[in-house]
Amino acid sequence: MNTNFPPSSDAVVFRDRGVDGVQLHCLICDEDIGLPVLYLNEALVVWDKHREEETLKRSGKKTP
Amino acid sequence: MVITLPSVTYERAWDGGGWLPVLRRGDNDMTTTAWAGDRSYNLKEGLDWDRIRAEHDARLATMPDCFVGGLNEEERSIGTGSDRLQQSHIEAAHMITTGSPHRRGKKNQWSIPKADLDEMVRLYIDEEMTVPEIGERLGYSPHSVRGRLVTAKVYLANRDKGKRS
Repeated sequence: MNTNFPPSSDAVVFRDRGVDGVQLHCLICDEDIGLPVLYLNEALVVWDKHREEETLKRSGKKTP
Repeated sequence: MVITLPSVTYERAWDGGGWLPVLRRGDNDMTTTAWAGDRSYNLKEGLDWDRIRAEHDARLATMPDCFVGGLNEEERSIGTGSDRLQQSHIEAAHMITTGSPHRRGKKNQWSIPKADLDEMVRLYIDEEMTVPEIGERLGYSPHSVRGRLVTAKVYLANRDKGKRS
């Protein structure tokens, strides 16, 4: 199983969720990530967290 | 509307003192994530990379020393030292590049003491104060407080749990 996530530009899309902001969707896991966010730095934090967790999960290590 | 998230790479700081997260669209368009964290970069308004790049260049031109090596000992202790870089790279980049000539906060955001940062987190978690309340208490702008909590990953972690923001 591939444990390496590609750059976020290839793996994440946003979908407009109205006043809630935008919803991140991981194209690798095909699932929505976290809650909708409004600002880019928030999105990057969410993405980093998701990538770390998924990478750990796929490598068989326990999530801290 | 579907837009893509810019890719993030980690690149050497100007003086080689650490690694900074960098947004990159192409070979020539990049900015640190701290710039991307600017309130003006609202995702729902789209990402105007020409504007981001222009702001990046303009601010760098006014801050020739805005690299890791330009921080004093206290600032290094907040999270720019190599031993803490792993956990605080975003925070570090944020502090470095928000040493803003615009002085958005009431205090100099660049040299925010670690005690203040810890107090922000404590007030948010333990006292359950709102971001504006914390700003008022400690003398920082709400945007500055919110930015710190976001980069410390506290704000989002608690919001995920349904805590008020």
